[in-house]
Amino acid sequence: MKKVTLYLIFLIITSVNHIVWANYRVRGETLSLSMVEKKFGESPFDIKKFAEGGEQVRAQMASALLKNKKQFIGKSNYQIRDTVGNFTGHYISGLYPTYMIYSAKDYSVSSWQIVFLIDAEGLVQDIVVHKNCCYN
Amino acid sequence: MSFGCKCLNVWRVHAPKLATEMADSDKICNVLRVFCLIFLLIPTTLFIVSSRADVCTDWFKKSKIKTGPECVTKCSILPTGMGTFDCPLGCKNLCANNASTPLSEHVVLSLLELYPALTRAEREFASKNPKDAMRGYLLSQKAEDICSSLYPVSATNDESDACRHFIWAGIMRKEFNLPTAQKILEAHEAEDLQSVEEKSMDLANNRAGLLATEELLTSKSYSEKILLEVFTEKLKSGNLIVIKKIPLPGEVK
Repeated sequence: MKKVTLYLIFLIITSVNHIVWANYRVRGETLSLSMVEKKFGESPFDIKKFAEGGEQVRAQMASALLKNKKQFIGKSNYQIRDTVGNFTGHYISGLYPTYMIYSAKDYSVSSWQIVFLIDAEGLVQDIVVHKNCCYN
Repeated sequence: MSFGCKCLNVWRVHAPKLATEMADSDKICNVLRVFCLIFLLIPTTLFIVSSRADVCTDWFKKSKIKTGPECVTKCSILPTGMGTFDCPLGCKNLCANNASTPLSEHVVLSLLELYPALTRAEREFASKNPKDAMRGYLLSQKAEDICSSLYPVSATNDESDACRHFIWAGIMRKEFNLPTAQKILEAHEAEDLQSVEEKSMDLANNRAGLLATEELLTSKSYSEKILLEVFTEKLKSGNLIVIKKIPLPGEVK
């Protein structure tokens, strides 16, 4: 009986886990927090400076944004646009808030962007630093 | 009456001795709650999950798709009905006998998994035309790939954005008839996150892409390479809308 109960609990947890994570799998390559720190530096996150800043300013704040992602989780893509600024990158469709942090001038290096991953309601579930181009 | 008390009443009927002895005990109430949860909630959930699985398994079996290369792709674009609408989401498991899933299958899976992040109009279109919707979204990926051969960045409001819209519209017109291609394109733009200016840019470039393919099909000279050349020509001659101009690689600013 105990074994059956444990098996059922395991089954439910696995199913829920699969359903939750299936929706937030990222297409393409992403950087870990340590890689972001190494690649773009570590400036404290200032929402006003981020909204007004260019790619370089945003890139330096990317790691702090990832560390403070909790403040954005659950916010709508409209709220992100209104507080963080108009989207500048591209990920799947215009619904995802995206911000370029490095635009490559040629194919010798990759372009990178910050992507706010959203759910069906347009609410932010995660934030990643995503390889914008190129996949080939 | 609380859930626990209802449960307790049932218990009283079936086990009066035990109930009278222990009815006031908080401990037994908690135990009963857990039992009620296990014997009512879990079987109900399992029944729902298993019945959905059966429906989808039947749906998959009827299609006679063999597991192996392209299984997921074929499964994903199978026609669905009211009861099987979400079955394509389980294509990965239904095709699970295939040990090595090709890359194209992963793209389909990603698109399926990212399905929730589409506009309401896109979801409505997909619910009525799942096969066309899936093909349309795969073509949007193809358009991105084609444009990445011109631009090392995929941004918003610039030439790379114009390219994606022009090429996507163009290859969609080749794949579908004009009304279907237009429906998919319009559904994609049916969200008001963009400014009027941005939306106008996308719609204008979509229209240009549709017209370009229309002309190429009429003259029987359509190919993706030629479509990309037409895009470059139209961009240089100022016939496409771009809000934020960036030079093509190798061009002087």
